[in-house]
Amino acid sequence: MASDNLRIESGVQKAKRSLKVQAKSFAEFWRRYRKNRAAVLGLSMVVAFGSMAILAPIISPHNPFEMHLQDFTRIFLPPDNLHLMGTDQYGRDVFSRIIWGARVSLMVGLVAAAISAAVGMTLGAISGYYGGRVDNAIMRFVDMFLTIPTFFLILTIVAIFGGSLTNVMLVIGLTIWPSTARLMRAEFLSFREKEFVQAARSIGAGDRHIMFREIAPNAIFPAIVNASLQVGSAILTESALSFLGLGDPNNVSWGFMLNDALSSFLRAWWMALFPGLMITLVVISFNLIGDGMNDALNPYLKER
Amino acid sequence: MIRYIIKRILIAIPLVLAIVCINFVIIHSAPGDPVAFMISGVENATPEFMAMKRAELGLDKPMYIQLLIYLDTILHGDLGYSFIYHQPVADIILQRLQATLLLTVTSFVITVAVGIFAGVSAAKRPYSRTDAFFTIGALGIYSMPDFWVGLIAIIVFSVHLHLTPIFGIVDPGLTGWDYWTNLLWHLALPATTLGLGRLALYSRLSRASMLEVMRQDYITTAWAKGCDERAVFYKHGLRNAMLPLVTVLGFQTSFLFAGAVLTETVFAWPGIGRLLYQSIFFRDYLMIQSLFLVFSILTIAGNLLADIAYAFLDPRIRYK
Repeated sequence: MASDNLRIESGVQKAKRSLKVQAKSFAEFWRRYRKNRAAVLGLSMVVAFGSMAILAPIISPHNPFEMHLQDFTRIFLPPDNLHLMGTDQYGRDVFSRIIWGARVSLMVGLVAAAISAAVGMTLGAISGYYGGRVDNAIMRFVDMFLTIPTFFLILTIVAIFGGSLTNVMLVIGLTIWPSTARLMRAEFLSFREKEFVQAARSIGAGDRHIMFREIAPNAIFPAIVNASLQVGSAILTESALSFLGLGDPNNVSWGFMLNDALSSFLRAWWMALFPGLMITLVVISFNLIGDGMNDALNPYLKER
Repeated sequence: MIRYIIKRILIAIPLVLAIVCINFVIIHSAPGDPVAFMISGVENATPEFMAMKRAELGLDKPMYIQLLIYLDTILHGDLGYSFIYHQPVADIILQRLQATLLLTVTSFVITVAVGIFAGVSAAKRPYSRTDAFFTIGALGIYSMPDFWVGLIAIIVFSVHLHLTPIFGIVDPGLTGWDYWTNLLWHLALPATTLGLGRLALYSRLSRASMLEVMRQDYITTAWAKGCDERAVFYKHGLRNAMLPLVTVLGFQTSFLFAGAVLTETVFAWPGIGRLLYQSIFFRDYLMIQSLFLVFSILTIAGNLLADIAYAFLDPRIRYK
C-alpha cells in the first residue's frame, strides 16, 4: 500500500520536522499573543485562579465546610480581619469558600469545554471532509440542536437525573458542541480542495492521514478559540444551575453560594457580592484569552 | 409574503414534535418509571391508583404506541395534573405566562432600542476612546451572571437608595392608573437587569454590522449626493445593518428566556421562570419537563417571528 510506504519512509524524520515547524509557529503565535495586554491579563488571571484552586487546602484560612449552627455570634458576620469576606448563615467563612469554589468552576468549565471540543471537532471534521449524505445528516442534527433552548435542556436533564459534578460536566459538554462542529466543518470544507491536500491524496495518503495530519493542524484554530469562549459559558451555566438549587450541595460552588445569598442578601450583602465577582472575573479571563488567541491567529484582523 | 410565512410555520412544526419526543425520551429514561413522574408530590399513592395511571399511559403496550399516546395528550394541551398545586399543569402555566411575557417583551424592547442606538453611535466614531470604553464595558457586562447583577441591583437600588420595590409584580388592592404605574415601578429593575447582558451583545453586534455596511459603495454614494449625517447613518446605513441583527435576535430568544428564569427567581416575579425554580425545589418533575416544552415552544415562536421580521425588512426574501 502506498500510504504505508509513505508512513514508513517519513517516520521519525517527518515527526521531527513537523515538531520543529509547530514549535516555530507556536513561537510566532506567542509573540503576537504577548503583545496583546488584555490577553496577557486574561492568561495571568486564569493562572492565578488555577493556583488558587490547586492550593485551596493550603491557602484557605478556615475550613470551608465548618458550621457554627449553635453559635449566633458567628453567623452573618460582616467582613473583618478574621473573616475577610464575612461569614454566611451557617457561620462558614465566605473567603475560604470562595477559594474552594474555584475548583468546581474551573473543573466544570475546562472539562465541559474539552468534551464539547472533542465531539464538535470530530463530527465537524467528518461532516466537512466527507460531505454528501453524512454531512447532511450531521448538519440536520446540528441545526436542530441549535434551535433547542440548550439551557432548558441541560436544566431538565440535570434536575431529573441528578446534579453530581460528573453529570453536570457531561450534560453541559454534550449539549454545547454544535457551534464547534459548525466552525470545524466550514474549515474542512475550505481546506478539502487545497493543493497540499490534493498532493497528499495523489501520493496515496489515506483519509485518516489527510484528516488528522494534513487538514486538522490548519483547520483547528477557530475551534480552539471557540473552546476558550465555551469554558466561560460553561462556567456561567454551571453557576446558573447551582443558583437554581441544582448541582451537588456537598461541593463548594460559587453559584450555590449565591443561592444561599438569595434568602439572606438583605442582611448580608457580602454573601451576594463576592461569589458573583469571582464568576465574572473568571469568565472575563477566558473571554480575553479567546479574543487574544483570535487576534494572534488572524494577523489581518489587526492591520485593518 | 403569506406563502413565505406559511412555509416558515411548516418548518417549525417538526421541531416542536422533535422536542416532544426528546421529552418522551427523558421521561422514559429517568430513574423510576413514568408513573412516578406523573405523581411526583404525592406522598402515599395507592397501588390501585398507580395501576390506573399505568394503564392510562399505556405502559403495557409497545414503545411506539406509548409515544403516540403521549403525543396525542400533549397535542390536546393536556400536560398532566400537578398534585402539588392541585390543578392541571397547563392551567398553572397559563396563569403565570402573562407575567413572563410582560417581563421578557419589555426587556427585549429596551435592549433592542438602546443596543442599536449605542452600536450606531459607537460606529460613528470607531476606535475612539469612547468606543474603547464601551468595548471593555460590554465585555465586562457580558461576562456577569444575570442573577448576580439582579442581586446587586436590589441591594443598591432597593435596599440602599429606596428607589424601587424589592420584589413582586404589583401591590395588592390597586386599580386603574395606580395599578399600571405600580406595575411599571415594579417592572423597571427586573426588565433592566434582564436586558443588560443582551444589551452588551447587541450594541457590539450592531457596531460591527454598521462598520461593515458603512464601507459599502452605496454609502459613499449617499454622502456624495449630499445626504446629511442622519440620513446616511439611519436611512441608508442602519436599515441594511439591521438584517444580520434580526437573525441574531432570533437565535437569542432562548437566552432571553433562560435569563428570565434567573431574573424572576431573584425578583420573585410571579412568572413561569419562578415556577420552574419552585418546581426544582419541590422536585416536581412533571412540571419541570412541561416547562421545558413550553420554553422550547416560546423559543421556536421567537425564531419564527425573527424570520418573518427579516422578510419584512428584506424584500429579496419576500419575493423569492
